Amino acid sequence: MAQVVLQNLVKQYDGAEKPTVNHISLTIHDGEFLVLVGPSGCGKSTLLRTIAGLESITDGDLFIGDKRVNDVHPKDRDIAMVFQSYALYPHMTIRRNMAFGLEVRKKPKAEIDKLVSEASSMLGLDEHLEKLPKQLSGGQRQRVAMGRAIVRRPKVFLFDEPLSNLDAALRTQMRVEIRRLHKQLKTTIIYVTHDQVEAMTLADRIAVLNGGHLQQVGSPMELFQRPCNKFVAGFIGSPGMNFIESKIVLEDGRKTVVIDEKNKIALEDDVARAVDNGQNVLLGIRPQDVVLADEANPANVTGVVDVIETLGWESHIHFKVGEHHFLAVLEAQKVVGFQEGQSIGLHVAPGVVHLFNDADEAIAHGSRCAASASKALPAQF
Amino acid sequence: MTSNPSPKRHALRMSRLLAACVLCLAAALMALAGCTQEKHSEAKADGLVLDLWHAYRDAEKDALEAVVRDFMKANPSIKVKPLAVPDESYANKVFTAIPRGSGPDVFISAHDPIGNWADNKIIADLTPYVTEDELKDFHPVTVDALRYTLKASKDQAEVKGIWAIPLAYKSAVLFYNKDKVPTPPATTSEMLKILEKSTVQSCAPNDAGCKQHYGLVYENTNLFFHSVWLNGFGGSLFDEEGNIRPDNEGNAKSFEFAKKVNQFLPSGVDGARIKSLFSDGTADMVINGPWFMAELDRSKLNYGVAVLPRIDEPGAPENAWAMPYVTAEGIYLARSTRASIALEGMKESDAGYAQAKAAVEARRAAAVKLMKFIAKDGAITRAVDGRQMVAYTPAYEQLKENTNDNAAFMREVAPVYLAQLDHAVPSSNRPEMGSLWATMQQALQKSLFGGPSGETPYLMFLLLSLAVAGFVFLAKATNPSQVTPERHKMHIGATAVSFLACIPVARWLASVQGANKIVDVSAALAEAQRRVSMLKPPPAIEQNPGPYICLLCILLGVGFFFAIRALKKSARAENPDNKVAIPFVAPAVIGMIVLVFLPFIVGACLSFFAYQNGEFIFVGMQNFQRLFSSDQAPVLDSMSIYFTFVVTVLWTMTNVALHVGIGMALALLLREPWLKLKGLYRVLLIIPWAMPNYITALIWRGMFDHSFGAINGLLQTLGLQRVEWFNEFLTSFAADLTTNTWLGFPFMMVVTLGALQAIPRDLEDAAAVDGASAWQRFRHVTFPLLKPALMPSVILGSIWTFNAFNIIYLVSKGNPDGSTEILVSEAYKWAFERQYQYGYAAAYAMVVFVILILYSKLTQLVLEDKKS
Repeated sequence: MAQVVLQNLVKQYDGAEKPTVNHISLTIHDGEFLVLVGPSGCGKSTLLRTIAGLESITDGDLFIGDKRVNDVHPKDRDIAMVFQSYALYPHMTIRRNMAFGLEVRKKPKAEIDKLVSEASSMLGLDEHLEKLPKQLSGGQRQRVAMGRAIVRRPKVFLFDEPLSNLDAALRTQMRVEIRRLHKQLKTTIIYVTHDQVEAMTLADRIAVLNGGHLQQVGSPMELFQRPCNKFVAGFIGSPGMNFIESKIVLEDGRKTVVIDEKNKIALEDDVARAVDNGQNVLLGIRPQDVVLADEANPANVTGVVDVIETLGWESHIHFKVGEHHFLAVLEAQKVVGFQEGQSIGLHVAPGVVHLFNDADEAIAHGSRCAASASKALPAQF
Repeated sequence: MTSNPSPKRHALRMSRLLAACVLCLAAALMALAGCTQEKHSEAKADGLVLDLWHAYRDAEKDALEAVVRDFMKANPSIKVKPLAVPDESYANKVFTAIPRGSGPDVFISAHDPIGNWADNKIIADLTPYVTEDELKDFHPVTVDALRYTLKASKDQAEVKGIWAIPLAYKSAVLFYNKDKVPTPPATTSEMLKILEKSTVQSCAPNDAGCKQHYGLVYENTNLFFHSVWLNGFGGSLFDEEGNIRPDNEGNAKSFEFAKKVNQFLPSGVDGARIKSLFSDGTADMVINGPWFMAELDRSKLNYGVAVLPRIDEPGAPENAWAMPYVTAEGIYLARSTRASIALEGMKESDAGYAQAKAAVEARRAAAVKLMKFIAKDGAITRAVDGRQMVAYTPAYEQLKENTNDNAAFMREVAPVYLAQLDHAVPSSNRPEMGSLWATMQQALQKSLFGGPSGETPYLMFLLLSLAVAGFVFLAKATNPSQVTPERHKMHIGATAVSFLACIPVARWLASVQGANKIVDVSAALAEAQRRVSMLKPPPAIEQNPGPYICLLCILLGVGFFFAIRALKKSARAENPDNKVAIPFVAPAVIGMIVLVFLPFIVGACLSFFAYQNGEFIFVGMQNFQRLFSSDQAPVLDSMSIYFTFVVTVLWTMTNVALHVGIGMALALLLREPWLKLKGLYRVLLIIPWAMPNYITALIWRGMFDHSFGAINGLLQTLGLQRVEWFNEFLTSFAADLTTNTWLGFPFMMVVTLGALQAIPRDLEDAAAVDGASAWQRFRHVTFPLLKPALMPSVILGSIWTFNAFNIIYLVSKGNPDGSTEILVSEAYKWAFERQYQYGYAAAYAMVVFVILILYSKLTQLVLEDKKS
């Protein structure tokens, strides 16, 4: 077990104009479950393959434990990787698939047998050991791929979108198993996914990547509640945050964020202090943070119902607020009888408001972004 | 449903369309056939058209065509169509075309195949058409060469015939460079003195002033040129009674003398090389025939021709002269033509018989007229314009009056050739000559350069078992899922022992190769004697085909029964309405039947027949019996099928191993991400495959040439000895192997590249992360996954290599002594170079077929076993 340290890591492919992984500095602590998340093409898989040693490092340093491993061959990095395609050897039995890493390291046969049977019972693969991969189901293959990683007891596990080939139900089940596995093994895990549900449920910490840049690193709740910029705010959380162009106006002596004449939200003091009167801001409101107006919560936003999506326990109501599209997630019970075209009073509490400046950085509420997140500054600052 | 036609109707329409296409094609073909037919009849209506075949080129061809034009001018009712047929296939073409009526009426050829042609009813005896008086005008040596006695057979009496009218003669004389050798040597001792003085065989690499130089060059392993000494020393291929008897004293003495001369000669030279050596002044003298004059440029080279020297060697007969073989060129009358074959099919009582008979006779009379015209009236044109040494002696008188430039030259050289005729012997025209010729050349080759030693077969068996052990090891080693670590260690041990075993083998090899060099002349001749008796077809004993036909019927019946059962079964199992499929598969099935099954059936039937005197005689299993009993040859002799089989297997295994090995290595290399210019390399590496393979084979043949080849040149530059590639089994085999490897690896590379595409990169990444080294990744992951895709290509490649006729035929030509021959090339030799033993060759082909069937069945079983 070991920590993994990335210092200004750069990976640029031959002939590519821009680096795929751009000056990323990140420390993954010993025993931590870190999830790398981001849209496709953001460089998360490349970053993972770079850590595995399957891609060379263009610039920067990579440490596993205390050792700089930039030029160390994958087989000598003492890591294990689970691939999206599982990458099981189709011509070998499950037992040989799991034992392969030990065989090539010339471990004694008795030890190999012991480790394989331990891993297989942990993953419930005992009865499949003599089968070939093609005889197993997707979930079972996934487990074999993990078993192959486990038997070696490596310092670090790398998972490259391991659940994306599974159906939804199986994915949920495997998610739990992976979490449980981590609890048992307490090995450092770096896990790549584009699915934020996986990221939120599995991670000790999440690192959000976009366009090769690291955006924000933090615990799932921190990222959800205090996104450092518009990208993180929009990427984390489902359905995504509502963004509306607004202006700060002084009304009744209080700084208020104004969407239009009818829709104005007064700001809390600590936020108000961070903005100037007359400043253009981007208002961000999570759909879950909207409630229907009542006596205690007077309406400060009025929306015209556009489309209603009912999920059973909750409904997604697409409103028109002025010219803007505005989504609210409301309890299904409370929206019975809503009609399209009907005007509804909504309440947005001042505390749930996210504001972003011209550079899309969060104002007041947000955490600090990762060093390389700002595209405006040269990367090394 | 109303808008869409039903599938059935659609299919019906498709099948109608296809049927229409097939009909159109058939109609077009018939129309085409009709056209050619019409052309024929049209020409017939105009007058007589005679086909004349010859193998002349350049000046000779032009002269002949001029003579033909003169003939047509003199005989406007007869049209003659001369056709130049390439020399290489000439005799075979004549042999196969004439009995089918698709050959010429008249053709020109040298006299040596007369026996064969007369025996096989290819040519007609000219006794009824040419009187002895007429023949007196031709040089008697040439007339003698064209006489042959056809032995009595059951349907005809003995015929002492004259089989062609002589046109020209060709014998070797001495060409000498007047600037280097002012007076040509009159005796062999003078000749040897010149050779000793002027020959520089090789130069030290740093000696700038030194230049290779030869006193004499000639094709010394070609019997035609060696005959100069063979006849001179009183040798002969036959004894007094006319039996084949190559192992006599005169022949031995001539071989010894050839060895003596050989030390001053470049080896392995061919006609083209001799021309360039003589033209650029590297060689002072050449022994060559009259065609050589056409190749030399008199304006650049001051050369002369002289009668070959007197032999004054100790041990030579009194007053002996170097006596070359004379080849007489004659003009022949084909025994059958389309019309005569049609006539034979008619009865005398048939209507039109008399008319047809008259037409055939008229045609024959016209043909004889043409033959005489070309031989006599055309002689002066052929001599002056075609530079032929004509047989018609009055032409030499006419030559004196001719003022043409060419005539002046002919006046100068003709006396030399005429004088040489006094010391010349016509070569035999007996049918045995073909195989005797090759055998004598092998004996000569062995005496001059050595041949494969008696140990060669043992060596080959040893190599073969090593190769098999290696294959088994590889198969096991690359299939790790079935190998326990203990057995794995055992395999490694076994391979190590095999490699260690190679060391004494290699040392033994070195000693054996040394021994190779010394081949006793009398031993070589004794072997030739034995060989000749083996090559001769045994008298065919006609068998009653009854039992065979019964057996065949039973087999066909059983086959039919099974076929019907299988058909019914499949009809039940699948959609019963599969008539729709018939028009779709019909073109392919017809193609297969015409191009594959019919020739195969004909070949299979042929293997039960012997071809003798122009007839196929049913001999039952005699061919196979002769084949498997190895027909008087010891099992380890290179003539035996067992020996050839082992060579073929060794050839196939080594080739396929190298093809796959090199192809796979290159494919893996081409996939490496760090390699630049991949596209370029890929194209370059596929080029050997894209070239026609006979061209590649000929290029390699040239590169392996002893004196002038690039490979020996390279060896010499590196300070190594030149290697006589085709004189030892191993080097000759290696030359073939190199050529075929060059031709074969691109295919395997392409297949591997394709198969590699199908292997996800993830698997190798996973293995790398798992801790496998590059070799382990290849052995445990890449190779096992490549194997299923490679297997079919390996089987295919094996079959191609097993039948790689071109390479053997063009590169090593079976040298030394037929030891590098493989089954197909050997079958070819039996069919076309050893008195047309078609049946025996067909039996060979059947054996090849059965072996390949068994092989593919076996590999199929192995593969299925693996799968299950």
